[in-house]
Amino acid sequence: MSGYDPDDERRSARVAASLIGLMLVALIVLMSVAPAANAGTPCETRTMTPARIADAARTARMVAEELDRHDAPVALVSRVGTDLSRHGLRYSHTGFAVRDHAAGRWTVVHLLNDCSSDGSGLYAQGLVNFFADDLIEQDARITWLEPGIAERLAARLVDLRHDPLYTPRYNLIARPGSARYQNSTAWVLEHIAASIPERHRTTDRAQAYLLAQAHGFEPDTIRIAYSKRIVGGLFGGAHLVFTDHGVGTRLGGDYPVVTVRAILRWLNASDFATRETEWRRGRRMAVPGPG
Amino acid sequence: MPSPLLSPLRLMPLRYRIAAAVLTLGCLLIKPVDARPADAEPGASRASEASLAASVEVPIAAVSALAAGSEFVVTGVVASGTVVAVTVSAVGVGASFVVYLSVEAVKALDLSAGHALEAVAVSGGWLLMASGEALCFIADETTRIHIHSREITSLQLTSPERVS
Repeated sequence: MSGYDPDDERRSARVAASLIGLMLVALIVLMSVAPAANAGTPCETRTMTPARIADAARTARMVAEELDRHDAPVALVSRVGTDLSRHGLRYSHTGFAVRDHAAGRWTVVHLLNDCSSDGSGLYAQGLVNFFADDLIEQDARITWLEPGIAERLAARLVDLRHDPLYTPRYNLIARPGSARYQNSTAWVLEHIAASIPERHRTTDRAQAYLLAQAHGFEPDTIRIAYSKRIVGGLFGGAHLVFTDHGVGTRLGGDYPVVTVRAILRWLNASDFATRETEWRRGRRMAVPGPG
Repeated sequence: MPSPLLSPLRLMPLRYRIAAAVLTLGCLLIKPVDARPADAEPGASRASEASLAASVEVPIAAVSALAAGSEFVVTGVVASGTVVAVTVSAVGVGASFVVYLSVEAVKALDLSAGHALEAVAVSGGWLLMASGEALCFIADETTRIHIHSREITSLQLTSPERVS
C-alpha cells in the first residue's frame, strides 16, 4: 500500500510550479495578441493575372447570356470564393443580378465585408468583377425567383441608398435574425423575404427574417470547435463575432448561419425559385447540385 | 471526514491533481476572442482588393484591329518607379494603347520597342501575349459592359480595380 512520499510531493510541487509558470506566460501572450487580432487583418492587394480575368470574363459572359434568355428583372447569382467543402457547402457568396440597373445591364448588387474592418458595404458590380475575385472555382449558379417576388425585389434593388434592411456591422457567422450584425447571405435572405408580401412593404430586418421563417426557412449549422476559436483569435481577423450567438451555442460549437445552401434549399422547397442553371468546372449541369 | 466529492481526487497523486486544477483554470480564463479562424469560414464575402489592373481598356480602333487579327508591336517603354508604361500599337492601323506592367515583368519578358506581340482570342476578349506570357486581358465590346464597380453605401465611385 502506498503512503505519503515526501519526494513525490516535492516533485509534484515543481511540476505544478512549472505548469503555473507556463500558464501565466500563455495568458500574457493571449492578452497581448488578442486585441490586435480583433482589430482586423488588412487585405493584401492582389493583381489578378490576365488569364484569371479571362476566366472571369468567360463566366460572366456565360451567366449574362443565360440571364438574357429569361424574362426576369432580377436573379440570384452565386459563386465559390472559399473552399467550404469541410462544411458540406459549395457556394460561399451570393448576390442579385439586376437587369435594369443604372450601372449597367445585369449589375450584381451584393453585400461585402470591408477589407480591413468589421464593417461592410453594398456594392453594384459588373459580372466580370463579381467573378474576378480570387475565386477557387469559376462555378456559377443562377436562381430565378417567382415573378411577383422578382418584380418587388428588383424595385427595391435599383435604389439602395437608404436600405432599411442593411446593417453595416459585419459578422461572417451572424446569428440568423441578429439585429446587431449582418452578413451577405442574411442580407440576401432578408431582401427576398421582404419581397414576399404583395402589398405590405417590409422595412424591418426582424420582420423580414420572421417572414422567411414563417415560409419555412431554416439556417444551416456550421461546426466551429472551441479549439479553433482560440486558434482563430490568435491569428485571424475581426469579422467573426462569436458573441452574436448565445452561450449554449458557443459552448456546443454548432452555429446556426444563413448559408447560400440554406437559401437555395428554402427557395426550392417553397417554390419561390422557378428555375436554376448551374455550371461546375465550366460544364453546365443537367441538374443543379446542392448549394 | 473527507467530502465524498473530493475522495476520488484524493486518490490521485498530487501532481495530477495540481495539473488538472491548472488546466481547468486555464480553460476558464482563456476566453476565445471574436475573430476569424483560419479554417472555419462559413462564407467569404470580402471586398478583397483583388486588382483588375491586368485588364486594360483600349480604343475602339484597337478593338477592331484585335478582331481583325492585326499584328501588334511595342512602340514605347517608359518606366516610372516600379511601374512601366508599355505602349502597344496595331501595325498599320494607327491605334495604340498603354499597358502598365511591373519593372520585373518587363525585364523578364525583355520588352523593348519593336517587340512583336500576339493577340490570342478568348471568350470575352483577347489575351495579349509576349514571348508566350500573357501581358493583359482586353475585353471585347460585349464583355466591357460587365466590368465596373461602385460602392452604393458610400455613393462614391471606387476605382475599377476594386472588385469583390
